[in-house]
Amino acid sequence: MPHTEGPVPLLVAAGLLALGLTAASEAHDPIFGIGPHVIYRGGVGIETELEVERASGAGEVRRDVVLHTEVLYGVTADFALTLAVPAVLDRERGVDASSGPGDLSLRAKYRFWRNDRPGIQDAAAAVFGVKLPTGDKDAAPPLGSGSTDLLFGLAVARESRRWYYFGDIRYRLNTENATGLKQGDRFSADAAIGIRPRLTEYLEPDLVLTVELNWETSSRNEQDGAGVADSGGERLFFSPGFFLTYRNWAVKGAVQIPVYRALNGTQPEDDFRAVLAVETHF
Amino acid sequence: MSRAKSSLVAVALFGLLPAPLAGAESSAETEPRARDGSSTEAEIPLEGEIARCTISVDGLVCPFCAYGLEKKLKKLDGVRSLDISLNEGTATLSVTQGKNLRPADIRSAVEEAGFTPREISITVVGTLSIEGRKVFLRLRGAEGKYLLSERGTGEADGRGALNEKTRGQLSDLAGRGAVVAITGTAFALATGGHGLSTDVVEQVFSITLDVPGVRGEKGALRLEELLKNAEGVYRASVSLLDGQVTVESIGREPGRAALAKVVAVAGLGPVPEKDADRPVGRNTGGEEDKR
Repeated sequence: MPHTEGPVPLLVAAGLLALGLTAASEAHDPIFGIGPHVIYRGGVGIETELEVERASGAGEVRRDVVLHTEVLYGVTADFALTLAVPAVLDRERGVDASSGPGDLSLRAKYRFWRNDRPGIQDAAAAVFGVKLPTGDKDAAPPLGSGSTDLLFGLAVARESRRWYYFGDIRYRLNTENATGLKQGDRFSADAAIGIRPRLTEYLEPDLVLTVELNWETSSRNEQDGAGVADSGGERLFFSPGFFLTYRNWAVKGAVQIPVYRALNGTQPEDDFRAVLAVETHF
Repeated sequence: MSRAKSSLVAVALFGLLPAPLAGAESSAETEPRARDGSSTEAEIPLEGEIARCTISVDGLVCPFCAYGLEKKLKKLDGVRSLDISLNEGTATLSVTQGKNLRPADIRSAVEEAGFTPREISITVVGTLSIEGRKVFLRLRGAEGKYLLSERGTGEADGRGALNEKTRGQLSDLAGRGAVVAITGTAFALATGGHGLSTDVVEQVFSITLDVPGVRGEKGALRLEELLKNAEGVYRASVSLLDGQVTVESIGREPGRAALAKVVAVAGLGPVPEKDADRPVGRNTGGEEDKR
């Protein structure tokens, strides 16, 4: 596959911002945002998530199909570690296409506050993550950013038998790779609400419907210290989703629909992003 | 930031992780405490024949999260079965005969699951004795007794205050020598000894069935296990000496037809017709297993 020069690698890099350090949800946490939920002490969770993303415009169509596999472990009742391994099944940028392992991520979540009452749990957690440059950055298009990037997040939630309320802020600190490219740092803020239409008992299938608002603002990419004009900007997404669980199994999914964008320069615009995942704890 | 510097930053930040680990680990390993910080040292160990143990759990919201509670509680030694109710916010343990559960262990299990234990109530089986104005529940199969007291009367003062309706019910049961199951919260008495609030008072009923074909220790144990898992059965004991099985249930009479089906599943029987079921009284309560 030909490796194109110019703005395409930068656009590809911008596309990677949507992946790689995605904080996949746990349990009844938001799908695209983060929540304060952690797995029980000594618990092990495995999640497999299929993510499909499409953007078009500026004379180009971008498409990503990625299979994320995550393993989480409850070190204590309030502290969990997650290892995320993405497998890019298909990445298309114009005429270029590639597939293979992506950038591996490690995340730690510490629930530093919890207030339990009958039928209600309020909680807040801090998240820290690091994305390692394990994906092939020389593939066309690249499967990895070639940089070690950091994620900081803060999440708060109220969960009750009927209603769920979530809020979080995240900051992605990106670093420069070997080719001198630094992707723009990103600040995100999310709000989500969920409802359990039917109050079920423990050993019954349980359905929760959710709606998220996801806002992202990214600074411009930098190439050798100089800002890249056609990069960065603001986006707001409306994201309906669902959680269907039974005992220790969960199926969840959501679609992220762009409702507002103010992108710098000329860039492909997001069409949609969809996620479907299966999670189990044991 | 160069790649080398960013890697150093990553390592340094991960180096801070032991802080929450250390704090959380040490809190998990110290003496368990209730979430409000009160000490559990005053709690007495659960003694005698504990049929059930119900824990009120705060923060119990969703089934997926409740799985952690199931995992932690089922690991406790002595838990025969577990029933979690999200709508009630409770986890009810059936306790294996002869086993005791420590409140501290139960609280730790709930906290490690990510919830807050609020109240632990137990169902204790025993016989009643009346000493003046006080009514005691004498443990079956163990030394010791609980002073029974109405909840909310300052139970720990040692007076054993009961309302007249409860006192009448208990006196009647005591007069018949009935075996009873009292559900309540255990507490230490200011005067020394143990008390139990009388939230629910139930009679223990038993039925004795002739079971043709019971052979050997293994067969007897298998039949006992099958019967114990039948709905509503609290205790089952097989006598190889006379080919009989005695089944007890709390609050209602054991269903003969259902038990006959269990016996049939075990490849035994059929169970012949017998006299009507009877409550456990002075002549039948507290029998040891006969083999």
